[in-house]
Amino acid sequence: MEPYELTIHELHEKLRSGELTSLDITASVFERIEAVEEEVHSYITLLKEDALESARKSDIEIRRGNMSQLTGIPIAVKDLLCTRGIKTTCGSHILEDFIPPYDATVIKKLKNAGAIFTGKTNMDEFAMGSSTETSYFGITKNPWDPERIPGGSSGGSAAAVAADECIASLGTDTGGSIRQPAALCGVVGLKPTYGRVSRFGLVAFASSLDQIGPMTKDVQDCAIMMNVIAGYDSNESTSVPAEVPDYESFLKRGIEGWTVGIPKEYFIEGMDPEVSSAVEKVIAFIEALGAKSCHISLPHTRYGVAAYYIVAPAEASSNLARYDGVKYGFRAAGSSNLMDMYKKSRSQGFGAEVKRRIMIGTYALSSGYYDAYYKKASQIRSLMKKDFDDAFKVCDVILTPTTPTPAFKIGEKTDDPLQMYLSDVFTLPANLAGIPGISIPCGYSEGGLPIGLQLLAGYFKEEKLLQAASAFEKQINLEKRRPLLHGI
Amino acid sequence: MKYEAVIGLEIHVQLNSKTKMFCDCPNCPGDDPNKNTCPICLWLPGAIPRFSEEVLEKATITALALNCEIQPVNAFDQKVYYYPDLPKGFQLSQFHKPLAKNGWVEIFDEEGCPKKIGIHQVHMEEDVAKLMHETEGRTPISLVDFNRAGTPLTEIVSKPDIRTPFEAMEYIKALRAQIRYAGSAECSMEQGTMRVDANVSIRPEGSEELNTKVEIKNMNSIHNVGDAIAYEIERQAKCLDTGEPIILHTRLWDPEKKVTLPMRGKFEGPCIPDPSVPPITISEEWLNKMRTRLPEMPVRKAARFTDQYGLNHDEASLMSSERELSEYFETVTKLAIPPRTAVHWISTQLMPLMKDNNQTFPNLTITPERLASLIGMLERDEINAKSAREVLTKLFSTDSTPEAIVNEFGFRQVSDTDALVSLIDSVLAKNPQAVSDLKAGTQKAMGFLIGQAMQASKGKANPKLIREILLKKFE
Repeated sequence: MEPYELTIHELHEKLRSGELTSLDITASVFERIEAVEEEVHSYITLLKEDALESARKSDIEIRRGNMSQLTGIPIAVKDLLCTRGIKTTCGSHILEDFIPPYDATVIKKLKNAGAIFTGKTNMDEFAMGSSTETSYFGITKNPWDPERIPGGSSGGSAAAVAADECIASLGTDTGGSIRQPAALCGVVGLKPTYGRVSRFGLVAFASSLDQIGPMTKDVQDCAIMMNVIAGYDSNESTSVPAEVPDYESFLKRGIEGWTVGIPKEYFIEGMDPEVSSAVEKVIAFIEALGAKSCHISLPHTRYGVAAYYIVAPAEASSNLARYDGVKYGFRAAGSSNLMDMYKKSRSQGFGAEVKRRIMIGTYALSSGYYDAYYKKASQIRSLMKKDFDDAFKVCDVILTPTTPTPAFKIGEKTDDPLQMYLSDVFTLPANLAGIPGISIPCGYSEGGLPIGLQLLAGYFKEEKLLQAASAFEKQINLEKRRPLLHGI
Repeated sequence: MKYEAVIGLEIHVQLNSKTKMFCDCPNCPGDDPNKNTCPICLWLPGAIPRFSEEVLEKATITALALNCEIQPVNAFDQKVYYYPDLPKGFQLSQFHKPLAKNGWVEIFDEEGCPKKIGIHQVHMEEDVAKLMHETEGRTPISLVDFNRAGTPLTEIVSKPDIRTPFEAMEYIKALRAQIRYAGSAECSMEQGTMRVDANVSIRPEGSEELNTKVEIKNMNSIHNVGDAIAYEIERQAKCLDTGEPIILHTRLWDPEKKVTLPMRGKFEGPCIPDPSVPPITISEEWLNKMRTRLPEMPVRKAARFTDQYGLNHDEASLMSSERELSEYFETVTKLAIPPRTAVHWISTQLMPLMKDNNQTFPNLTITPERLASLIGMLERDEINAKSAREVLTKLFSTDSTPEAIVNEFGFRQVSDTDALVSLIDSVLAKNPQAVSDLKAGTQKAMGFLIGQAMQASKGKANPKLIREILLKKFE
């Protein structure tokens, strides 16, 4: 096996034993990138020289015995996270030349842990989208079928892990942007509890929903990444000063005696039968794990999409007000005055989906509509929180499909925003409520496309999520398939 | 028709916290441009505001000084508008949940009657960056200085209780005194640490209706505020008299031409609760701690000065009008100087000289100890009042003690009876006419002779003693 095919924990052992150096691994990952990147297009910016240089330094540290589990491991980062001295485009024309003078807190943490950065991954513009098709920098292909989308908005981060163009990656999740592409690309993706991971340096889309999380090849890697990035940040008022347990230590505990909630609202008509049957199979495993399943109801789920598409665009409409053509690169030419420059720069600098959401948000907040839309949506959020609070009184985790369908075709939903929005129907309640969620692979469609399983847990119960995910991962014991790429 | 004005003021006060509102950068807008900046106050993508506890304290103390009710929960909103001084496109302000409501300050109207001006609310907001336009020498450019970006403001919104330009000016002065007392802000309109906008409408006298208001900006002194409002009242009255409708808009005061001119409207965008700064819950315990940090305010202090020191109303309100003055006065009093003597010397001698010497209480070279020792010498008849005034003048330009100056310049007054008797004898010998006048009962002659004796002593004699000696001689 090539080093790029391995997981963090496998590579860590090989680094520790001296069987591989970080330079070996990093060089291997870049060989892989060179072979398949043209086909997949996971990245906006590649950092080969920096990465190889960091790898050499890591090897010196490893020889000195200074080693964390991420030391020398090549990791990709979604281009929505600020990286000092490195372009951070957010997938947008308007930020094409933005070079942040500072690192996001998670980037600092990964650096301190000795991780190697392979590059910045492609994404839907400002994380608005479910297919990575709204990126200004081109479409990322699903490694399992290049005619299909990888999901989004963290499509580049998911595809990079699935195509072995990195060992693990960071994504961000505002309405499912980690879990949905993880499901469609057959990788593990975790959205932490709101406040668990510092958002400092995450370019805001919808600040009350955004969270950063890991995308990995297996659940153990996900726990390893969480051990590094989780925790309170005094720089960020919404990060919570709650203790961070050693997530890895929960993985082998099993879920004997647990109750797994199955919400009826997540098994809806119109769901792809292959997705249903893959998830049904997993539900059948619950007893084998010594746990029991229990049917629950999350009655306000049906309002989730509506509430989300008020709250997220509303917050986006002010968060994106700062892109006015004055700083960060793009400015429209030929303006006659200030207002004209603002209008032209924003009209030309933003893509259609971003403009659509800014308009929805501005409308929802406009005078006289605030109570009818934003306030109402906030009330629905409270009700959805209560749904989950009630549910977690009777069950330990909730099990659902991650998406209603496997990966769809490129262009299939670009003309129908509502259909696109519905692809997040199972993921966005966790963002509205603020609870953590994880997607793990649970099967393949007949066409060979990955299918994802979502687990949800209560606030700051990531350890339970990982514990259950690990148990299911083992029980499902999915045959190891790799996407067939033409590269190596 | 006779009209009555309905005036409300919106006053922005820059709090004197050490840091900006949402980051650790120094709150020093006057430093070299863009010296005090970081990703947070440059409003860079990804940077997240972190609310300063010190700013909350200063804002709360300001609101308490204005007799406001502090709300149990306050929260920030994002107020969207596009302008180069706000490159992030929204300002953090408090729209839905302000810090405090329902306050008041007391003023005295034109007739000297006390009147309470209500305060609708006090809320916090971040200041914007400062634009500097370079229009000469090359292609005109506009520069942005972010030192002021994110510095803390409180906005104090009055109720429409003000009726005249005079009341508006008195309200600003009273509010300024209260806040300066509380010590949370400098409140200088000239230096831009206090900015006043006025909302003015008029109505027929006796009517209770509220008509369309016009907002006036760009007034950078208290007098400007009075002049601008007076102009605006007259302008609106003319409009109404000629049947021209009053339209809701903003006007700028032109201090040169002394007129208000319409300003172009700006785009006002949506307003949304800020998700990154969690709502701020104020506990009763914390609020009590803030209350204990509020000093004794002017009205209460004036009452105490009347009771404790026997000052009359005017003296007491003068001595309590500014916190530093009141503290100076009390310190002098504690140094065994009779309170009303202290008031007299501070108000009629010290304060005019401070103005001449361009000094204020914080940087005053005449410490309370120096003034007390000077007045003490006067009280003990060691010097006379005229000498005391001269010594006071000299005290501004030297470090010497009043005693040293008195000795150095020979101000010590002659209270030696023997020396005075011989001096008076020689004065009497030189002025036989006055002596006979005095013997004939002409009181004017007494004054004349005392004056002559004082002159002969070069001003150092104790005039009281001279009078006594003369009276004895002519009994």
